[in-house]
Amino acid sequence: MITNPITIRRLENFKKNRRGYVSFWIFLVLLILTLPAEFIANDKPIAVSYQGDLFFPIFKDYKETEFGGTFRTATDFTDPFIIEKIQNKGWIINPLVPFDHQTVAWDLAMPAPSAPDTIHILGTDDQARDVLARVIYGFRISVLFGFTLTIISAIIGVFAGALQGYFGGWVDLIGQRFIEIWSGMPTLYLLIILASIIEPNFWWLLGLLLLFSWMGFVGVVRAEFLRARNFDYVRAARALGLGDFKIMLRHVLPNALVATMAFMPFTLAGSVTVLTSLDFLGIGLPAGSASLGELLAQGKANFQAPWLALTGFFVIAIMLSLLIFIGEAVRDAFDPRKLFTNK
Amino acid sequence: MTSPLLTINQLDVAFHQEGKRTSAVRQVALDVHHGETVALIGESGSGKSVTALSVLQLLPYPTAKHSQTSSIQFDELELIGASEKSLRNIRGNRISMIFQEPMTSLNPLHTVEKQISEVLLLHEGLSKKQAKNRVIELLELVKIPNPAERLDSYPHQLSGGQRQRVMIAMALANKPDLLIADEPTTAVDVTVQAQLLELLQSLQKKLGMAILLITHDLRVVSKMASRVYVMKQGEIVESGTVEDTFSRPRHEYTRMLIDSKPSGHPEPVNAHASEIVRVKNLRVWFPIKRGFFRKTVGYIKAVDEINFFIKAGETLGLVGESGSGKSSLGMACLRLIDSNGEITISNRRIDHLNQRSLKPYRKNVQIVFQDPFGSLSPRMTIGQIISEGLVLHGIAKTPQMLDQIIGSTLEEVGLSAEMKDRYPHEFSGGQRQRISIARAIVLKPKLIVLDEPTSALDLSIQAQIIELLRDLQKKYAISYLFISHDLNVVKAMSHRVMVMKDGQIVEEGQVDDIFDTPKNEYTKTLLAASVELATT
Repeated sequence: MITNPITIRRLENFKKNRRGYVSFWIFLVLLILTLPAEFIANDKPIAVSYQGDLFFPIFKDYKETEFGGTFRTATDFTDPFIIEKIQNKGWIINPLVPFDHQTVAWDLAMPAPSAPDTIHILGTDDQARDVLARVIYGFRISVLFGFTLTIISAIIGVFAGALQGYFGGWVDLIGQRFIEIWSGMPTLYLLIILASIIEPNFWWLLGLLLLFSWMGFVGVVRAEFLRARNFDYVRAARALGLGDFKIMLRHVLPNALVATMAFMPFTLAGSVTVLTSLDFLGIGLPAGSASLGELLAQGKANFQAPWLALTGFFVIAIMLSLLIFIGEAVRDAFDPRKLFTNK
Repeated sequence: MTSPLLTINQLDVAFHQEGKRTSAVRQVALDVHHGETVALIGESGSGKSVTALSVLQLLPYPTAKHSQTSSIQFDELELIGASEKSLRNIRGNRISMIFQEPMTSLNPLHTVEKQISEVLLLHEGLSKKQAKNRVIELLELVKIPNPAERLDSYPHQLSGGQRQRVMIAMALANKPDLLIADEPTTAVDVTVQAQLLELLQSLQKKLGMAILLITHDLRVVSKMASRVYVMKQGEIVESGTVEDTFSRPRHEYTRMLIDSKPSGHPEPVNAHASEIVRVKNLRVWFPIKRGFFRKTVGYIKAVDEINFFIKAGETLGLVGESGSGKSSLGMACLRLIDSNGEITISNRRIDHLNQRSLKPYRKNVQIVFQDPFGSLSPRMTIGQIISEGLVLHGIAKTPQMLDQIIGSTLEEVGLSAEMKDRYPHEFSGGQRQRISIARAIVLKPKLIVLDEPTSALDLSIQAQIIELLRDLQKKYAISYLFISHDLNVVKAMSHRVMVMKDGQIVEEGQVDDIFDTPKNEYTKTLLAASVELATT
């Protein structure tokens, strides 16, 4: 499948970093489990068989009357009455965690937040919502947010840094001054102001953070381009007649990408942290969405319920550590010295 | 005879890294007597510098390890395993070292005074005032003009030769018994090299110190040393007095080193050969800008009103010291830097074309650089590097054709076709230079600018590369503009020679005329410096 010898050697180097390699698999499993979160944690069954007919409530709402109920509204599958009705004439396949991140458990034995028990493995939060379900959804949104933000800022940052470094002169001067002024903008205040005008959602936050996060990449990429544009092999490429953009793409960018790669896991971890802290402060994702920051905030407000703070802490700590370990392994894989010395 | 100052016995050095053991030096034995100059010669990677560094115990321990039997005795004191404190007393005080690269061995943020007085304050406990006077004395000793004014200069304000003199002054500050000189003159011009060696000799006489000279340049050895050790792949293969060793070498490696001087002559040019290149009134001026509004107040004339022509299959040698504008001239011919004046290649003016319309003519002129490590893109395979131009100029239409051309070109430069999937890191300096040459000749250019293509290589490899370049010229009638500061190489390569100084041509003519009967004063100095080194 993979025939390019350098790709094979990079993979070998990646595997050689045991910690990073193991982290990669753990992270991959977590990601694969949480990406289809609706199938893992949901208050609607995946499939229902009733009187010989198959129903898939996870995709579609069914009227309660179809299962012999009395209301013409959407069926609530947590209602014991309905469950009993269905089980008499068929079966129910529930997701692994039979709660959505917004499901309120009305039948708690003690006031919310309730301690972990066999039904709510990680307990419930102060609005009686299952913590495990919220962690699964929160993990997914954090990772997706982090990846999206990192990849888009890397693309913008590399592009801006490459232009400044390669052409130098006025382009560089104006670009650098712009970045100096732009990075002086107080991101947090902008977010607070934004939050008072509109209700920020995933895309609003992404857009706003993107305005500033791309600058992190400019420095390393620009430095690499400044250094490389006077290299002999770049001169040789110009002597061959290669155009500026092709030289940038083929001869200089591969070098700059290593620096970018080394930088990426930190930006990724940083993006996750930023989203978490915004949620913690209450100016992040809209109220009610599953988020790790909100979980932490609840933990802080409810010291009598330590499972909230502990869950929040461990999920964030493990996720960030895994990302950093993977990042280190990726950096090793792209390191030309490691690539060629340990044959 | 008194006991030797330095005795090295059964020295082994091995590097342990990630479970792997690489032996760098094996069973080396040598001694240096008081006041004597001993040379340690060998090609790069032979373990010379590792041996020298282990004398001062400056290797990266514990990655580097000596064997149980290894012994280095300096004045009856065992240095291997000596305490850090006693070693510090010896370093810079009784044994000093000077390095090859004067720019990186001086701290760029310290003035000359601070660099030199550091050693004095550390080892001799002089007061600041005494130290200052001593620094001036030392600068006088190494013959730096106006020493008192030079005290506040920073390294970048000095020339390469002056920097090396400051290094020597630092090394001599505490009157060491032994000076270890690791390639002290490799990075400087010939005329400066001659002066520096003379200086070292006179200082040795004055101070009576011993010198352990590490070099790959046999001319330096025959001028300076009385005894010589020849090193190959970590072992000493031959030793003896310089005269004996050089006139009757016993080991074949020594014989190869001595014989590998560049020699021979290029194939004579066909009398009816057409003119490939003509350059008229070429100027490369860099503006000097001053003041708030960056007004141009003058120009640095790197290349000033130069005219020359090259015929098909001819090599024009371009000689000059560093900073004389040789490289700028070469780059201007390729339109890699801005210039004024006419450049005609194969009867086609290329100086007024913009980069886009220049593209079809790019393949006619190629370049090979000095540094074999910086001239190949580290992230491209050899095949990709060579094919780039072929694809760009639409020479190879199909992948099979591309493969075939790459394979045959690699074989032409003395490599094998299977190497095309490997990366530059996996090759030695000489092999990399062959790859650079392959990248240039694959486009079948009319002219190749060779910018010091052999200066970074060992002597034996130099000879091979010169041989290769001459063969290629014979086969394809390529013209070369051969830029070098090494007169021996120029003599072996060129038909005609131009001597360049401060952006101008001071003399030009047939190679034999220039070397046998130079007319210009500067040419004479250049030749004298290199001849003086050649004869003892």
